[in-house]
Amino acid sequence: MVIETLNLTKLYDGKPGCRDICLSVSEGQVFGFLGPNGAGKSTVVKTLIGLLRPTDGQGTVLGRPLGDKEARRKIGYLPENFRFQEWLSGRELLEFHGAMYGLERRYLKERIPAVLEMVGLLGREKGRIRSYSKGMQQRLGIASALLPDPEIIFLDEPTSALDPIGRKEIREIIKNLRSESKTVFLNSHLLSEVEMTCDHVAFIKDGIILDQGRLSNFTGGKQVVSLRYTGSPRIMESIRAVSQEVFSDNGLVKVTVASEDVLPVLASIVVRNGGNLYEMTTSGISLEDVFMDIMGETTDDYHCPTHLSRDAE
Amino acid sequence: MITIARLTFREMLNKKILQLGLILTVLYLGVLGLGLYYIGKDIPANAEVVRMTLAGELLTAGLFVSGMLVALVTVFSSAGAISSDIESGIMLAIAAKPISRTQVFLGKYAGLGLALVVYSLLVFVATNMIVWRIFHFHSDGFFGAMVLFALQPLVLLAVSLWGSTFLSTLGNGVFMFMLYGVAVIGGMVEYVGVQMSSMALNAASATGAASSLTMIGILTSLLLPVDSMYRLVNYLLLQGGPVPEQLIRFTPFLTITPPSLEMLVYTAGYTLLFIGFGIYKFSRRDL
Repeated sequence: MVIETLNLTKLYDGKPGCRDICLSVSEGQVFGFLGPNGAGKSTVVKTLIGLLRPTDGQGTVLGRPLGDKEARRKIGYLPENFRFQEWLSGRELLEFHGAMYGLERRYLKERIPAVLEMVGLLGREKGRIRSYSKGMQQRLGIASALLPDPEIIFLDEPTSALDPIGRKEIREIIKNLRSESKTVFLNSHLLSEVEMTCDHVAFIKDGIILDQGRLSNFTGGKQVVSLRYTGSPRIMESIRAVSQEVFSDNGLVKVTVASEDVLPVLASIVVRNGGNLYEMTTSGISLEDVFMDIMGETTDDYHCPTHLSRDAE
Repeated sequence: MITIARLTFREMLNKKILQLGLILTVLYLGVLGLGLYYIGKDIPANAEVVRMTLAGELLTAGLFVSGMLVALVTVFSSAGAISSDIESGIMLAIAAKPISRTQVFLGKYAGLGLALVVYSLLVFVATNMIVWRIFHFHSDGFFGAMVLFALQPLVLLAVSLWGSTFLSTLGNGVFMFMLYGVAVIGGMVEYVGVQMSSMALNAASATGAASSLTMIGILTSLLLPVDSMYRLVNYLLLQGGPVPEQLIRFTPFLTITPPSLEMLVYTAGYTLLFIGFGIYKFSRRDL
């Protein structure tokens, strides 16, 4: 596992920043960490990197203790609320950050133009950072995070200051990182970003993880089917038997089913029971539906998933 | 550490406080030079003792202001050296890199320290040059005094950087300024105490007050041993110079007995201790 935590807790003056965080992120995953503002997303990331000292619990990143200096050589990090030395030029900043990573000048000579090109800043690197827009500074921050060719990259709200074109470019960068088997830990409250780039997600609220797993387990396969039919009550009984959720709305029956495979079954239930099927439409479940559903849950009875506890022991 | 030190040094040169400090320093040196020129002009050529005594007193007064300038630049350039980087978010990108907080702290100390030592040397040499040019005053203790004067900001910097790890920029600036003020006033109080005890040996009440004043001075020197360094600078300059000893004792900028070797060792230990405190505090701080 690239990231592994068990009951990781950070309290600020007794108030929880995050509590009992149990995460398990494997190599090559693009992990989306979702939650509303103030949910504790940045607290978790900062604790993983070693910028915050955990109050309780334990964890490893790249197999080493949290905050380990050697592990940080292979970590790229874009903070959420950051600023750079505005009197430096973009190139000077990357040289400075490269030197802090201990990267050789010869390597930086080739690497800096490469990362600048990735983030669309090539040709603008000689300008002072104070002349950069917020979006350009965000891109420069991502370039800095990519500089050491990291094994894992933490992006804390990377698209918050970007326009739609910039957002698309960042999505492309994340996809490229995934194709290079890099691990990406993406903090975001922009659900569409996560939906388009991540393969695993965790939902955090009030500092507690409410749910986590494969993104497809939350959204993939599930279908909401709207049915309009006439026929005996036996049809409804049979539909309930193959559905996860059923409710009627103005003569329309809305059914949530586990996968597309259930759609012909639904049609056949109506027909085989002598009913008439007038309408059958489907729509997938969006991450937003899942997010709103999960965020409505209480945080009282949360426990670490047992497999994570077992793995971390 | 060298990377941080280099950047801090460059940052310091870019800071408005240093640029403003340099402008004010040039202005101050200009006024000092002009004032001394008019004073020196009216002293008869055959009154060598008067000329040298006046030169010595004006030099120590000049160095008092120079020391204040150095202290002000030190405090205002270092009060936010760490805290403002934390407040602005600059520190997030630095501390996430594979360098320890100790390296960051020492890098900041080295970068700022180098800039302040260079600035102090310039101010010291310029002040001495003006006095030498006008009064032809020179001292055998010049180099020793110069080294001590240039090391003064390093003491103040250690305390200021320590404060910067847990106080806000403004809070640390106010704290440091007040601490420096207490040390300077304490030094003057000590001087008065020493003078009183030497002049009123037979008056028991006077010597009681004198020892209290001396004790206050010693305590403030222990709190921030910058003023005792400044007094040692003056002592080295005047004892190695041409001013008769009987005449150099009546200036509030001088000490009759120089700070002891123990005091210098204490100052070095004090500086190292605050560097250690700063590293410890910064290493444990949440960012």
